[in-house]
Amino acid sequence: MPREIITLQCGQCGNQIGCRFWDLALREHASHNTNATFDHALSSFFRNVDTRHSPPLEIPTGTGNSPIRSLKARAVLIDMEEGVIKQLISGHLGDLFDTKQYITGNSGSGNNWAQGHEVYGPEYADDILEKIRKQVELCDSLQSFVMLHSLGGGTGSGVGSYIVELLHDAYPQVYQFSTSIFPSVDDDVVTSPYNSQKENTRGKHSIAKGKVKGDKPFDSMNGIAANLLLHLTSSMRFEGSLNVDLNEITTNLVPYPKLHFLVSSMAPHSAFSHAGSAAQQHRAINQLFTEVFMRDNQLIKVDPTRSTYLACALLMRGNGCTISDLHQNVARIKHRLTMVSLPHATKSFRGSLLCGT
Amino acid sequence: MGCVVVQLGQGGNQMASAFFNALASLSHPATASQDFFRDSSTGEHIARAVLIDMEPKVVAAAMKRPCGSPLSNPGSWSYSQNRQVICDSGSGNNWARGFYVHGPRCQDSILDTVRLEVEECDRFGGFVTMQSMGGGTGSGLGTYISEALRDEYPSTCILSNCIWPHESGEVIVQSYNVLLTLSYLESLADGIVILQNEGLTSICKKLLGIQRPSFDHMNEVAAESLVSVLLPAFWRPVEATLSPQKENTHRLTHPIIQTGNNKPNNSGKFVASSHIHLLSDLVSVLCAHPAYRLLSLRFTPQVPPQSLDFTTFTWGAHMKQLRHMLTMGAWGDTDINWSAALSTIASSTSKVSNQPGLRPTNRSVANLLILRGNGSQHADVNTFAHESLYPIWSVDPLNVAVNETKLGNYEMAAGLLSNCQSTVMPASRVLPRAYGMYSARAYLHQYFEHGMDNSSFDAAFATVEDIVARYLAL
Repeated sequence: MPREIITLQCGQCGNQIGCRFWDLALREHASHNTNATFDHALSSFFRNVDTRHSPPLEIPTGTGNSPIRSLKARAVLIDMEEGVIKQLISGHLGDLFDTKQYITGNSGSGNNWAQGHEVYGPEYADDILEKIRKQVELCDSLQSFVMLHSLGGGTGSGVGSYIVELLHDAYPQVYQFSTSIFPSVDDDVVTSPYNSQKENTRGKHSIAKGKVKGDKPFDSMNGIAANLLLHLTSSMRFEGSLNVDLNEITTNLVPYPKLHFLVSSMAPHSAFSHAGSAAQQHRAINQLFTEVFMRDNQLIKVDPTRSTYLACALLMRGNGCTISDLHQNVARIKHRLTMVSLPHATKSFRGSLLCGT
Repeated sequence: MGCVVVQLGQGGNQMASAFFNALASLSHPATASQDFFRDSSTGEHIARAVLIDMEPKVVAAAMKRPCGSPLSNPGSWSYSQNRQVICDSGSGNNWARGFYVHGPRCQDSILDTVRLEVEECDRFGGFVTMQSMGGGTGSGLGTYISEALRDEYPSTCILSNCIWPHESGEVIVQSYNVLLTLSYLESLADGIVILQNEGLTSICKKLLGIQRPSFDHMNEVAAESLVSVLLPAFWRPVEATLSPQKENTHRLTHPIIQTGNNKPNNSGKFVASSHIHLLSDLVSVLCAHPAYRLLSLRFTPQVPPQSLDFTTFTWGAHMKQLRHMLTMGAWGDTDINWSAALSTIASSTSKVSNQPGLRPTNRSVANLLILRGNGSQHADVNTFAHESLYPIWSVDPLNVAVNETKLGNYEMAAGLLSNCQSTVMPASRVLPRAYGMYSARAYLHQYFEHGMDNSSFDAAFATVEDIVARYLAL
């Protein structure tokens, strides 16, 4: 019954984002699911196992009412040096992963895309595919792979792109989302422009994010990326009045096969204080729509008002938002954006509503 | 007695839940409509429905309805647990995925489940399908299943209720989905009721005073209108004739005539011979011509619930309102130009499109008017009998049915199902948009991936153009 997502964390950046991601995912589910049952929403990202046995016994989701024994993440962690993954395993999230889920090399890729793609890729290909296959077998109905990596380094870009190609051949029916971190202008990695260029985007879709605020610590930036992933999949996991799956995002936002790069933005970034009256809430919702199209809210360094849009998807989460809010605000904001001068493009908004979380 | 409701996709399932709610609460409390409910062994009302979706969440939510005995909790009902068909993967807003991938895969289990429900009916009246046209499951899989139902049950009636998405766009590829669905359904279903989200939103905002209508509000409005035409009613002979200028006046009567002294008694049991038989009667009076099957639904009164106690109703006012709504092709009485009297509207023989500047009359092939409440037997419906409303070839275009039992809290209520031109207006607006996308080859790879090609799109476009042209030529 549930639709699972397997996360692939590749390279230092990918693993660090993953670290934040799993933390946030657990918190999100904890606030939503107060009676500790392993429901369908949890089974998108986690498995329920009984660790009293060895090897741990898989507990199937069933009707979604069985109690949580021990959660394991549906993920495969890959890095060509041990440091980051070891830190993750020995941290408080270590229980989420078992030894069959990670692959480490010894010497790192030296910030060299070719090292990652041409050398380590083929060398570890079988191992990687095997570990991924094991995760896939534990899924009832796999919906997609999500790749977390950076484009500036060696492992994330090189090995990451190699894996994407492998998966494209091995699992052609499964969607692939790639969350790629673009290096910033003042990046500390010298070879990053080369590495980003070489990144082979055979992956189906990538959501590019740049380091928007250079002087903020990495942790909060990773938090933003992690949040993005959670929001994107929230409609798949939780109930709403107009649901949007990952495959619906694909259908609506990718008009031509090669134009599959998406830019994302979020509003608000800081905690949203619950507005008082209905009118205040209404204004606050309208404010959100305005913000999400502002330059500072974009997760990549672009100015929406100066760019041309092909298609746009708006995902709303939370109580008190209705379809008419969506329509009103779309009508209002449409005029500020340049849509591609095709007759259809003026209507190219996809909305989704998710209430209650 | 019994009609099976087939709920397809998120839109269909949500609307059907609202429909059953409205049925249970608006009908006479002791006798829930046997057409749509059956009694379980424990005395509960079970909806005659099959719930179908390609992702589990919506059906799961619908199934979680609180049950209860209707004696202690009037208006309560529930779904049967084993009438759901769900898959995991969703259709991705892709008509081709719903039609070519999920359709064949789920056909057998869906038809089996439907058959189980049909077997529970004493006298099976037909299928009422509910689906949205903009998404993937409702439109694609819905069309496939309608085709399968038509093949499996060739002589039963299928009434499709289709939700037309907001024209400002809920789904980017809705133009494609909507046209593909319409082109197929047009030859499969006996009648297609088009429920426009635009109209429902405007009714909520302007008439019911809901500033920010949600889908639940819209579904409630649609459900109420549907219930007003699908609850039991009697036929009534229409004394009116066509406009006196015509030489050959012919009486507008229905073959099943109910004379004035066959009144129903107050307990709600009806005289069998004059009952409207769902769905065959509906379909035979409204969609007798195979080229005209699109229906639109209008209902009055539309007032906010808090004003209900303070509003007085008269049949005259209701008739006038409905009449103008019909003429203007509007959904609510705020869009009406009250000063447009019948005689100043374009003469009945000229084509609609040749009259620039004049708001053209919305002509109908046939109308079914259902009046509920005190005095409905004798309410004057002559205003619907004017010749300018109907083409010359239409035989018995006006049909009236009544029920003295009032609908819910409305002292007098009237529903109008019309086979009229306003149904193709949204389609005529979507066509240019779809052509634009098509000529830019936008999103086509998503559809071609699943087995469609240019010819399927061309055929669909041609069919819908045909439908629109036919209606506009009325």
